[in-house]
Amino acid sequence: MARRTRLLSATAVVAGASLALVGCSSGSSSDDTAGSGDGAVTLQFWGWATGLEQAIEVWNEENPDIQVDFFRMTGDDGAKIPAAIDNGTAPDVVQMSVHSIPSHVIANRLTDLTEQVGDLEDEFTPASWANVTFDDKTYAVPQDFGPNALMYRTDIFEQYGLTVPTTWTEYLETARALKAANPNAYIAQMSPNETGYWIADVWQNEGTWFGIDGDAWTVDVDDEASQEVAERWQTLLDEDLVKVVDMWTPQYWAEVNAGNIATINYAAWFPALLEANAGDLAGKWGVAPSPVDEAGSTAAGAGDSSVDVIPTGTENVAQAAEFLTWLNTSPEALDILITDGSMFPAATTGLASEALAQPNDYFGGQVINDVFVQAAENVPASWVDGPVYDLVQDNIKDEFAKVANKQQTFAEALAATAAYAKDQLESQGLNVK
Amino acid sequence: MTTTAAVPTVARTSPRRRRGVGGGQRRAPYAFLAPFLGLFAVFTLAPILLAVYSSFFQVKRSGLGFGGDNTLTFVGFDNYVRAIGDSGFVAGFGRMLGYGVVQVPLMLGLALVLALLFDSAVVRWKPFFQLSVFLPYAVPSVVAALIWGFLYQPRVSPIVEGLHAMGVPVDFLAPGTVLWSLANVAVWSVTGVNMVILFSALQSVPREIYEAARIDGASELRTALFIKIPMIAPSLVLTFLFSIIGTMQLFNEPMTMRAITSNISGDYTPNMAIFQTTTLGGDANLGSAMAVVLGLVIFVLSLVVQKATNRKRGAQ
Amino acid sequence: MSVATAPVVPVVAAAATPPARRRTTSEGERPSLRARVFGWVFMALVALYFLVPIYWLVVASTKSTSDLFGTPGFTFAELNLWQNVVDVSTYNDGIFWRWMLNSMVYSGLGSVLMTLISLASGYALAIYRFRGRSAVIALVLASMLVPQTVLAQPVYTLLVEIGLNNTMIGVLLPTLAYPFGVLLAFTYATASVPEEVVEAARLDGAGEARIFFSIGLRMLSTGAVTILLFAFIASWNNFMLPLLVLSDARLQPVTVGLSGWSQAAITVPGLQTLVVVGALISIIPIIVVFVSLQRFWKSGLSTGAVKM
Repeated sequence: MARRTRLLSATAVVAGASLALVGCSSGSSSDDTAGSGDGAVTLQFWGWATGLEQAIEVWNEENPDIQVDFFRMTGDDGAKIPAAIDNGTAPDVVQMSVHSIPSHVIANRLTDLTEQVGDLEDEFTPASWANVTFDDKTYAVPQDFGPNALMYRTDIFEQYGLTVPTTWTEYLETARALKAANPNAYIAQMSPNETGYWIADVWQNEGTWFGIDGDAWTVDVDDEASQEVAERWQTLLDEDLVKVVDMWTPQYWAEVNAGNIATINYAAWFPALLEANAGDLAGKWGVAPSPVDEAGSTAAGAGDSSVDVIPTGTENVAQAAEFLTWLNTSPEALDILITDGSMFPAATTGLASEALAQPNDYFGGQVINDVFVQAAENVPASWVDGPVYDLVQDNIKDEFAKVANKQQTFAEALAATAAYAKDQLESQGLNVK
Repeated sequence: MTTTAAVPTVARTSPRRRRGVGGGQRRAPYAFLAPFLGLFAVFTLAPILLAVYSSFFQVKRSGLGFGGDNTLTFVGFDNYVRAIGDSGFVAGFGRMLGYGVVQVPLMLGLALVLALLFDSAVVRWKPFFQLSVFLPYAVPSVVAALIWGFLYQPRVSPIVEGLHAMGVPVDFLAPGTVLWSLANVAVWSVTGVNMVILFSALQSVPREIYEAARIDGASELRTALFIKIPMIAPSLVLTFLFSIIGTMQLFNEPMTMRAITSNISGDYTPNMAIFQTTTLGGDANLGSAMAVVLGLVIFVLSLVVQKATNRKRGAQ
Repeated sequence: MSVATAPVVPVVAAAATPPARRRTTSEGERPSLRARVFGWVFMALVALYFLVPIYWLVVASTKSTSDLFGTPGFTFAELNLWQNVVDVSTYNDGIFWRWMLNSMVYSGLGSVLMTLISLASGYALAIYRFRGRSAVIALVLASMLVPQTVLAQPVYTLLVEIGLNNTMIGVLLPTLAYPFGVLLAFTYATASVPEEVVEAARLDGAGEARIFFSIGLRMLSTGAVTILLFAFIASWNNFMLPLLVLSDARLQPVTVGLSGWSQAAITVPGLQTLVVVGALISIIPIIVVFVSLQRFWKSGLSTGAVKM
């Protein structure tokens, strides 16, 4: 299960606490909903994003003919989606990590939605839309997005007289200066277990892990874009400028709280986690655009994001698509998701929403989403997910662990994972170039 | 699979009774077995057979795989060839062997010493100490991960911080030490169960046997070494055997530990590799083949252990 | 999963040793002073080893969220236990206690049924000679070699076919056939239900069922309690199947519920405390079951009629 799923399910559990009970009485969907005499249907929806309950409540009031019954998932529940779809017990709508799309498509688990939602392209940023479209077919509706920006400790930067780096070259210099000033302080952490961190950097560099070339998949895990990022990380690691620590562990938060990690270049959903786990550092953080390769560039990376899909086997595709269109593109729904659920939306309407542009007290009153919105609009449409994404992600974690232990270099890790990815694709009988 | 390792042991104790058989008696065993056999057939046997069957098939796709033409093709032993050719999967066996050589004797040794102490007059407050040893088994693995995360990680662990303060630079989660940290978690959680088993075996040894020894003036220690341990030898052999099965099927503890360190890979143990293939890779066919391979390896290992211990006991 | 069950089996061995009357150490034996000192020191170290992590859990459950991450793990901070218990009891409309209740049902009812079914089967295998007997024993043994990792999905498919997915029965039913329990019962019955007693009952005109229920079960009572303990823990730790089978959070057992909370706790530190307190509460039933069994050992309840 992607880390993202866990993260979101988490926030969601709290916010949606009271409604969870109402939503969880889901039975098998298709059976319940098929062929109601008066044309009214009830859609089963499994999801985790915060604020979904509130949005669904509004939808249900306005649409007596298409009622939505919501079940809140936790991270573990991801395991039951494939089994449920394969056995015909799946709901009509499922929220999932964007990376999971291709593996479900090749297993015939997702409805091709080109006809129903294909014309929504203009509603989303190019990067978001590229994520749900494969071979000119659309399989999902983007829900939220995780563009990157640089969260940095204003107090530490001030203390050591550092300026916020705008290019990766400056970033390296800042890292060295910081280390020289305080041997315990690191510019960032290196976490082998958090691949989203890596993916975002590759994405910013217009890279990807997979691609489609005619009738064949390409494996790009170790292409030039990745190699360049690898080189930067190798320098950081070799010069001991990054703290090696697995993310989300008690030790990780202890390092953050102790002020040993000065910047975190991560997704728009991360500030909420930072506030939750490092509350004492309120007022000591600022957000700036991620450093770029060349001054003047605005390219940004992105961490995991989530989409809504309609599993195969549901009989209410049209109604489900109608609901998803409303949920993810209407200002009404987006404002609820942003306000009640602190969601960072994928839709451009949402990015422009007043609801998003609120000052954040934890960041000293800065309107941090201004930075993230700008990033969202500048994420390259380069990233393509492949059918063996989960395996490759698991593999690269293991390879990066060896890098963290100085047993190999990033370049070697990439080569190993690329070979692994090719193997896995070929073993499924897929064409690989 | 009819001659599994443990069969001889159990068969040895089975009754060889001759009975006049009436109608009721003929039907009775089937009636007594019916609930179990029915449920066993449906929920254990059928899934196992299904897994073995599916291990000979593969989903064949073509092109990008988006055409929806997924056909289940009979591939003979292809999946087995792939399983055995998977270096990560095979490495897991080696790792578990090394781990088992250390963890199993250590854990069983501790369980045996504890069982003997509980069976002797040396220890007081037995209920309390027994409960202490058994308690870890009751801790859900998700919580065990949390606990050990706080005990193994620098900065948050009082143990690590304490050792660092004393000038001992420990890192429980480094690539070279993580296997033994894992073994520690396993010792912590399963020693109690094995202690209970050995203790209950000791309790069923007739007390008169010790009287003679005591009259001969044998010490508690000598009684334990030369009388008690031989008396429960069959129990020891079986706990040993099943600890090996448990080791080869190791899953919960490493998954627990993986939550706190990336130095445990996704295919660290054979069972984890199966889980990775089946769940993350969505390849139930290959996963099934790997499971069969694991089952066979355990079967062979069990046979070897059984043979070795039989010979040893025969030599005495 | 598989690991939880593996250590259970060796009890077979316990039963495989010759049956005899129970022996408890008499208070009259006085070990040497040296032995007693050694015993105390050794047991103190052992208890320290096994209890330190539990102690951490206890300490942690008395802490507020910020203290959990911000104060040393082994020292008590401001006592917040009551508030934590209140929080865990009220969170999500008190769903935690619903989970506990579910677990009690799954494990309580489940283990009793597992034990009964195992006893009937083990008794049949031990007392009767019939066609297919050795095949059944071999099958039961062989099923232990197969890793459980691959079986959850086929079982789920089956339950969907029967229409039992997302029901409590769907969670309960697949666990009832408990091969380890059968092996235990088989060896216990072999050891402790003597042929003569069964024959005598038959001569008195008792039916087979009556003999089992009135004599067999009584003689197997010690074994039954041991089977019950292991069956109870096996059901309590059952994770993958309930996770797949249930899509209604109100039917979940407490382990699945706590795991979900634990994952959610990555974002919500407040939930971390609930997981800790919840875990502490959730091991209490197992302690109760274990302590009850201890009483059984000490009472010296023997394997019954063997003595006669």
